[in-house]
Amino acid sequence: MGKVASIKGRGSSVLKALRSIDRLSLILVIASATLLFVFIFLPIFTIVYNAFEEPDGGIGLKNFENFWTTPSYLRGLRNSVISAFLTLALASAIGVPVAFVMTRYNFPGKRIFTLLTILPLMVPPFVGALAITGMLGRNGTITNFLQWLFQSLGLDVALEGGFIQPSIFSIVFIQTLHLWPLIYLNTSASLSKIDPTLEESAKNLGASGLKLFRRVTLPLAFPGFAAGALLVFLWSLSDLGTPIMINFPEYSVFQAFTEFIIEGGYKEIASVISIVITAISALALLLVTRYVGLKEYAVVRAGAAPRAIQRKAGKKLSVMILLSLTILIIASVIPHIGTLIMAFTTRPAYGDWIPRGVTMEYMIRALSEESSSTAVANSLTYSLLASFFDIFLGAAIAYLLVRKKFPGKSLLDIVSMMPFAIPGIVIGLGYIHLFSRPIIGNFRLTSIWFILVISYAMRRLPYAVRSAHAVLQQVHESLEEAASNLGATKIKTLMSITIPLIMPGLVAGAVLTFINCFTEVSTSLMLQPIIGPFGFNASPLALQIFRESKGGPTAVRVASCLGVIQIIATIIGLYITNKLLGGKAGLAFGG
Amino acid sequence: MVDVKLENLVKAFGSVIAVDGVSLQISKSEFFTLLGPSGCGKTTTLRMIAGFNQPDNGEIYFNDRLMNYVPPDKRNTGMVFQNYALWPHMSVFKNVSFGLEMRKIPGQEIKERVKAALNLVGLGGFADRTPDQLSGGQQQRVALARALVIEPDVLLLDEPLSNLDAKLRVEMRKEIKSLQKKLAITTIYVTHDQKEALAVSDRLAVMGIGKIVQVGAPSEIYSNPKNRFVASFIGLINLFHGKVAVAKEKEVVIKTRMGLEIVASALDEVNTGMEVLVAVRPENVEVHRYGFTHPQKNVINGVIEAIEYLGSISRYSIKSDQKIINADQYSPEAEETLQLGDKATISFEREHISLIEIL
Ligand SMILES: Nc1ncnc2c1ncn2[C@@H]1O[C@H](COP(=O)(O)OP(=O)(O)OP(=O)(O)O)[C@@H](O)[C@H]1O
Ligand SMILES: [Mg+2]
Repeated sequence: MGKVASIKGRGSSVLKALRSIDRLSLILVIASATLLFVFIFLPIFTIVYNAFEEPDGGIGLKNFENFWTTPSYLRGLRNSVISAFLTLALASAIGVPVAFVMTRYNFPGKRIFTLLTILPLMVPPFVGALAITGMLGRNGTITNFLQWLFQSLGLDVALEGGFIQPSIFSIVFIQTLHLWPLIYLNTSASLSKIDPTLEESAKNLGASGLKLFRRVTLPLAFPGFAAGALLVFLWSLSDLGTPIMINFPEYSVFQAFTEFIIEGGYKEIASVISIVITAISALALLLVTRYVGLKEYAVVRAGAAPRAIQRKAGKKLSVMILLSLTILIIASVIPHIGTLIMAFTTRPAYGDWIPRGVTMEYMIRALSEESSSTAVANSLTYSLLASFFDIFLGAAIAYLLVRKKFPGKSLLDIVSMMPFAIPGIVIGLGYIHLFSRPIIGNFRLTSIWFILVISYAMRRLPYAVRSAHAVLQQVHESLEEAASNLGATKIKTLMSITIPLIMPGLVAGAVLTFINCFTEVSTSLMLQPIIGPFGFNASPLALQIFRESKGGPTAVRVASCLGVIQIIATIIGLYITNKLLGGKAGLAFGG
Repeated sequence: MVDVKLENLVKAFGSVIAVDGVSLQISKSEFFTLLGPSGCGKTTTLRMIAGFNQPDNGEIYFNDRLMNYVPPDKRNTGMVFQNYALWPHMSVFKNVSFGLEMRKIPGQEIKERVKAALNLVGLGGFADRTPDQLSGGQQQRVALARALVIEPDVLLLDEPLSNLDAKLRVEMRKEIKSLQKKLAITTIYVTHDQKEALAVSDRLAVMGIGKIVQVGAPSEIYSNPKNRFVASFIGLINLFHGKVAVAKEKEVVIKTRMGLEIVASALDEVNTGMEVLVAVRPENVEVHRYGFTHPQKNVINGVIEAIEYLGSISRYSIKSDQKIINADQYSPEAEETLQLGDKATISFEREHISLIEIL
């Protein structure tokens, strides 16, 4: 009897699955699938199509040929890949040891250092790059200080151009300073999850020292590290802000940007470069996710108390640890200090390093000049709307993925995670290609500010889905069933049980989305709509910072002040998140 | 009050057939238990009755009304979940009033009924607490109050006591039982604890993998298990494998594999040559000094292998021809005279034997 039934059941399983899905879920599936299709899949598809469009019309591989035969594009690609690997290596060289020390040893001042380690993530990289240039570049504060120091010591060293030259190494330096905490946080999350008894039992079986590390600790810590490494690699590869700030044009993403933005640029090559970079990202993502579930890792728990065994570090070791950590933190706060110096002190004479005094002049200017105050208001509006949008879409998709069975579920999963591996510039390009056709008269979708909201929301969607996924999984299904058992309809259950239970987690996720949108660079620079929510200025903060940073010395200072606003928003956001999640903030960072 | 009828229910998850042709009739106001080992399909059966799982086959009736396509929120069942499923963001009062609000009961009446329900389960003063401020037993009572307050047609309980400690479990099952009797709600109770099942049920069904093996009153199942699965599942029992040598009108003689002759009172459907299991409960076995005889009882000689003190009783394990026979004794005098390693004789009455046919 049972056998017959099950065979019959299997034959029509798709039909049955379709029939068994309730109406609410069906609406959600259709709505989210449509949004993903129009705003993620189609733009990418358009770029792919554009890459094959030959300049003289027709379809072919001409653009790819041009890419492979033009040395500057190849150098750009090489520089991008090399710097991504170098940044990864350097960030790992810092992040992994810090993770080990922080999870395995007790030493004086550890609590303070635990807090300090997330400092680098608080300065948006774009602003950080600006500040680092202001500190270490030509006529930078530190550059001039060292020059003065050498001179006083009677050394004949000329630091004319400063340390930040347009080169791979500057890019790697700037990125590493910002990104190493991603490796540290992910690795230590996974290290502290290791049950101490695992290591103890290995010791008990005679493994010790290096062997223990290689055979037990390393394999167990690897997933977290891999997730962090992936974030860093993808971030670096798709970074547009740093090469723009230090003016290093031979960098793939920058090249794509330039070719596309400048009048008469080779627009198709921008698509080709985008595809190449996306392909590399996707490959990295596939490689890592084959071994590591990204949903479980790549969510960073800042400040989670490690449960692993902690040894008390001896005197000598403590001194070494403290010394290295101090150096690391000092280096990591260069962007912070730089931003503050540039925003709040009067510019010294050329070649001088001591600021002439504290001033609010630049900040007042940043807030009173209409172009920049509008940019602040714009970015606030965009980020609020985008995170609001992501709360709903992210929760809907996560709900479907966690609770429902329906045909095409894995496709929904994949597409909603796609932006994770898609550089912002690709989304920007795709949107321009797809939505810049005039609809009525001269009106284009890309002319209106709302396109930025959508692009922000879509870029950050994977993070929203992931955090909603995590909170939903903590809400046991029987809580919903209990409501339905007592007579609550599907909608009623959703409104009075599910949503209130997942709200704190969702809001925390939304705050993070807000921060990320508020500091978003690549799509902000790509899409430049004309009509803003408050008149004919739709510039978001990042674009305004970019413009000011390319202006005179005073404009650069105003740019830093706008950066300070971003930093303040970031700190407030992180604080709220921590409060909402009761100190165990699941922070999702990344490109 | 409703009666519940399940007809040939089938439910598969992928290739696992969780419930495989279950048919049951549960009368109005009956306390009915589904008893079976872990994974046998009890929860799945209960969830189909509540409407959370759609059966692949078969029908569910409440009072002859076909329920298969009625959504869970329209079935008017009250379910107590294994993990209680209390809503952590609502107070005890809100948890209990939820079902009434869904039924659009006026506010004043809700207040009264919630209060009455909380008093009923002995939680009168706890209305303003949140679930995390309650002990496990109290949470369980809230879950019970929440299910009862809507005056459900059927009360469904899925191992509601499994998270409680042994003492509380016994107390709570008494409370549940007396509440159920007081309110006369048709109740389906799921458990894998045979003692619980025997203690609370009017009738129970023993489930094997996806199938009902035996249905009956506790005493019936206990004293007359239909097969070895039921017998061993329902409690410790002594089994002798044998063949019916003589089947007379009043008595049956079984020759066991070890060569013993056991005489049992005649039951229907026993024929000479039939392979049977002779089942005797330990509490029906008496231990005597070696050499005891009795014309009406079965006696077996052996050696005392172990004596276990289980509070009010002592369990003797007597070895006879490689076979261990368990006997539970209340009399303290046996303890004084019989020691570990002594020879002893056991006896049991013909009436206490049940014969299980081996198919
Ligand atoms: N949603 C599901 N998906 C797949 N298999 C399931 C699902 N629910 C139950 N099963 C399987 O169906 C069988 C019966 O499960 P069920 O939960 O009904 O058992 P149970 O008798 O309640 O067991 P327990 O006493 O452990 O609670 C098991 O083999 C179980 O693994
Ligand atoms: Mg169960």
